[in-house]
Amino acid sequence: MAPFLPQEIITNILKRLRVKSLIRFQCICKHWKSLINTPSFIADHLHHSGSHNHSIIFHPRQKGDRTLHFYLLDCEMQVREVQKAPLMDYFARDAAIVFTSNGLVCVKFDNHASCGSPPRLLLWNPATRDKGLVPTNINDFGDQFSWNKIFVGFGFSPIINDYKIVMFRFSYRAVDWVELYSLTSESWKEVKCGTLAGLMNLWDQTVTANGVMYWFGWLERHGSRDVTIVSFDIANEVFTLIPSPDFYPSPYSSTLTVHEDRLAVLSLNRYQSKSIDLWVMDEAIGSSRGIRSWTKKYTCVFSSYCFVCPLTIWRNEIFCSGVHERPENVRLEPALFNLTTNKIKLGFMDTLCNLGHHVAYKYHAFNYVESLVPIGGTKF
Amino acid sequence: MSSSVEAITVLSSDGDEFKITVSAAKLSKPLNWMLEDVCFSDDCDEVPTIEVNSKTLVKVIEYCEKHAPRANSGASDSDAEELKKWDIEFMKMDVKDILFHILMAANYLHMEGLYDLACQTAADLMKGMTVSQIRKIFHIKNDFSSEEQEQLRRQHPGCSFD
Repeated sequence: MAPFLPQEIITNILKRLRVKSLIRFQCICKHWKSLINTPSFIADHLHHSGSHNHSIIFHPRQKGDRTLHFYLLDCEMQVREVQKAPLMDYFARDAAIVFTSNGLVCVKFDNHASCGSPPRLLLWNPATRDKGLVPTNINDFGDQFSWNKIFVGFGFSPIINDYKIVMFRFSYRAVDWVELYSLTSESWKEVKCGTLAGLMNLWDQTVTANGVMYWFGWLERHGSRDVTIVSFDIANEVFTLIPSPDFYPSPYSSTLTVHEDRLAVLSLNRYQSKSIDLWVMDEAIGSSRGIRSWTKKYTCVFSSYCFVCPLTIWRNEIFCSGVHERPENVRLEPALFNLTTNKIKLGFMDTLCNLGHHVAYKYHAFNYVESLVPIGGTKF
Repeated sequence: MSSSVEAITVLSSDGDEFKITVSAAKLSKPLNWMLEDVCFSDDCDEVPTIEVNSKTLVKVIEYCEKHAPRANSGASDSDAEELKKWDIEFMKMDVKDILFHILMAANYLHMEGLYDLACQTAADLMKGMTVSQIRKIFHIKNDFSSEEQEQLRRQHPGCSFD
């Protein structure tokens, strides 16, 4: 007969299981159900999942109200479609992932109400299929001109153990309103943005690492216009402007990412259009003081490509989309470039085609780990 | 410590004697302490008892002897690859029969590598099991009322209590 295992061993076994199995095993008994739902087990499971089940969630850029499909590239290099949040069918107009953190995905989509109004936000855990709309923010930006631009960021701070969403509004080429939502308090509040003088605009894409959110932005000072990096410390709620590396700034060919726990920039080489540079910031992410400098770590040459667009770094692979010159045809597809072997892995498009997906010219890709983390607040 | 000692004798909880080499015993902190006690003790005839049954102890010692050369000296990547394959074969065991005993022993003997391997093996086996199969091996009774089961089914469509 098998011995009775102490809880310590049971926890160590359960933390290795996929979320799908754990949801099933909640039906074993009351004790297991409560164990699987305790914050400490959820944290243990996330920690294990983070070091073993790293994957990428990606979706084609969506325009209008075509149905949005999400795909997952898992640690065994398999691509599959993610069961989408059911309400995406109602709201999904110009929908896009803002960012993912600890298995939670923040999705924004257009509000039909009026031009220039803020997007609606959805928090979604694809593994547990938990989902909920974030309450509407304080300022509805009503009666505003349609050239107001709104940007969103989402991330987790281990210091305060909370998730926050930041929403910026730019009006007449300056930040005029910033709001912050906390998952713990379940409410929005206005935050000061005095340090952002001269910031004219942001790029859509954002990353969060070690409790700090980052965006690229355009800064106008003394008559010249330069690219800058805006950082937001989630715990202290402080904005800082960081100099960017010496790269060719373009929202279409550059992206912020995280490499070995440091903020990194993937960007098309200024002189060679088939090369991507990886720049890494020489300062541990999270510290708000100190001198930051950028080092170019790799230059990856995509010789058989006529166009390439970096999306994110995953393990030691650069995930990108590009137009590949194949002998038989020219086509655009997501690809992986291995930093160790300098080899390109192709062929995800075949899987995507089999899943009924059409070719897109732009993808959004985010590092993702599945987790049991609850979205909190009102569910529906 | 006398350098001539190459193996020590230990007793299982069933009272059977087992020999374990010094280098293999180093994989476990408690075994290593026992080893030092035996070597430093004036009374070398005393045989320490390990609270693990004979069937399990055979497997634990087999694991230690296999892993000792790598743990003590480091090894090449090809060795690591070979050892991984060996681990997979080694772990092909019956859950009811021995895997849970190995888990208990590895935890008790502070053997990180074996504990990790056994936990992973148990997790991999559980993936393919039904809820009632799992209740059986873990000696668990279904203590949900029918209302609670209904509620869980509503929350997670497709949940099964069997």
